[in-house]
Amino acid sequence: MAMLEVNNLRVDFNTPDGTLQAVRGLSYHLEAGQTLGVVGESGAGKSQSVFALMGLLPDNARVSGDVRFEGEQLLGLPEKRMNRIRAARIGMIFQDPMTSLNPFMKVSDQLTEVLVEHKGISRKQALQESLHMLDAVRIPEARNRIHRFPHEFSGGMRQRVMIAMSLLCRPQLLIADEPTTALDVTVQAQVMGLLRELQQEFNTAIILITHDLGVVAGSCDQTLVMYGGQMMEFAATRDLFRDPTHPYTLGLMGAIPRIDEQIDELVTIPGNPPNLMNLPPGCPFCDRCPVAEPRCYDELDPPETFEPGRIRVCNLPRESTQ
Amino acid sequence: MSEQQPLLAVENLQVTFDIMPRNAWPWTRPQPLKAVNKVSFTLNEGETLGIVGESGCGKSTLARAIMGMVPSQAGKVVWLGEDLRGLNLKQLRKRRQRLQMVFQDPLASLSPRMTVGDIIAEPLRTHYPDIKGVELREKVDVIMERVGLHSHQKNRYPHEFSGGQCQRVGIARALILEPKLIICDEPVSALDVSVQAQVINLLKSLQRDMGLSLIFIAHDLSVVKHISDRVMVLYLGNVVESADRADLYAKPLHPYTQALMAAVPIPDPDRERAKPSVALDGDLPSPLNPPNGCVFRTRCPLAAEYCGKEVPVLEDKTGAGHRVACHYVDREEVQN
Repeated sequence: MAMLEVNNLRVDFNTPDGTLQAVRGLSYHLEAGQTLGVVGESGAGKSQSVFALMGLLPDNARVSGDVRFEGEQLLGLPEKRMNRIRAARIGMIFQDPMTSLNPFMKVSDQLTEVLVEHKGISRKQALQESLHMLDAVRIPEARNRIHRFPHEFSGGMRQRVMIAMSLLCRPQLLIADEPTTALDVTVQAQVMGLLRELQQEFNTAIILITHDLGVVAGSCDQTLVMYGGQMMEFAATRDLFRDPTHPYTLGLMGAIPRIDEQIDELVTIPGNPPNLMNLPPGCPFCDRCPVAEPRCYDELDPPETFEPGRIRVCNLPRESTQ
Repeated sequence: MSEQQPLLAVENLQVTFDIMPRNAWPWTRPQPLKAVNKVSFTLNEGETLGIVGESGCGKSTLARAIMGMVPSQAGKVVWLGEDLRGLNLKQLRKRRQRLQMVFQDPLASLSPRMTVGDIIAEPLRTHYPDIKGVELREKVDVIMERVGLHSHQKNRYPHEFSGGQCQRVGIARALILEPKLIICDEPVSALDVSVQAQVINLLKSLQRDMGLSLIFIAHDLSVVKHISDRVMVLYLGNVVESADRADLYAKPLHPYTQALMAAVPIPDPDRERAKPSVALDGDLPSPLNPPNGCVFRTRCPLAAEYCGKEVPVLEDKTGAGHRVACHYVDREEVQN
């Protein structure tokens, strides 16, 4: 049994203008100690799909499906039980480290709070443990810095505090929602290297959400490509990059400016992501797909597992999209 | 390259901000923060200069100082043979018609209470109040279609557009006065990869068609690579390396440029995992109290005692315009 099994997850939002379909029938699983990359543009449903697992969606969201974390159903769990799982067994890192830390609390208080709440240890012990963790994420002079406020840290440093906080209780699963999007490339490289190291040390499974395929290439075992709330392609990262089989994946790869090769014109995906209030009945990518056929607008074939561990969702035969 | 007058020549430009120390008395003398320190470059017509560096290295301040949006303390900004620094606001405003800017945050740089059509027309209304009615509308329509927006969208408000579309509006607003130079301050950092590629391609095609010059600011060397003719790397307000694109990417000489290049993720699992890690440790030192000698020495893998004593001079090390400021880059070695 996999550590995390997500089956047919759906997230809908009731809005005054109608129903917004953020995630539609998403299924995947993740083994302990592995890293899953979730890639897609803004509005692909990447964040909403993990907020759903953590029970962090607003009141107007309707979630259905089946999410099992070590055999336990997460959806519809009472708040009290969910609170025991969050932070203690599933940690989360958010995109913007400034808005996700409390600006009125010292970093030391924010860190020890987690431990006192979940592990029931004394504040003094908790402070020791927090210091230890800040050292692990390589914050220089942690002993002096821990009593400062978040605004006294730089962006990269704040993100490290977030990582330290999410790892305090040694969770089995860490969800990182665009952890490096707001950071400089140099800091991004540091943060990603740090995550890889900590993963090995604590044997944590990671779900890494990003829109940058370069980040995925460096650290993910498996990659899930999402578009319009659906899975488009799923594969081991090496296979995905060696031979992408979905027109959307190909488009994403062509759009990355590369430092290791000379390209004259970047390939773009024309147009904009679909309106989630009014999705086409067929493939969500049909409007922007360079090889779409008339039937793509009306229907979409179910996911096809064409090799062990490789899934694609596309009407066209594999040969015609490679 | 013509040996004629360059479009823009910046010479030893220096921008200093006065910062009050924390918890200081009101009569304490403010500390000077050198945001841009003796930066020089020239830009010819139709050329693109990429400026790269981490947050806080003075990229945006440099751009703003060229536009005259922040006061500069020393140096020259020579625009078509005339120093912009000596001009008053009225004279400057006239020059700025040919010198436009595109900002980083596409939504924040557009007024939320104006329609997109009004936003694009505003520079024309300001500078050419005689253009009215049908003529004005036609001009706006033409420019909107050119940047890939539909002219029927002009009565909508910025919040109705996606990030990429807002950036197109920003570009249209900069283009409507038919400028010679557009300074793009991190125009694609806030955008998704696929949309980023659209905007880069748009800027490239505009440049081809209209003979524009561009100053393209980014923190990512891979983005700059696709658009620049020349690239300049900034660190703590100082130029550490500047070269033609091909030279710089083929053989980065400064250890900072090498580290920046190594930090860019390569979308290829085998190469990305095999590449040597030259990751930079730590953060940028405080610009209020920069390291003495070479500014990069606190994070440099090569730094030795000597680097703290003498400031390296930015000089041409290859004889082909590849300028580097580093004690360790040896002229003879590079040329051989």
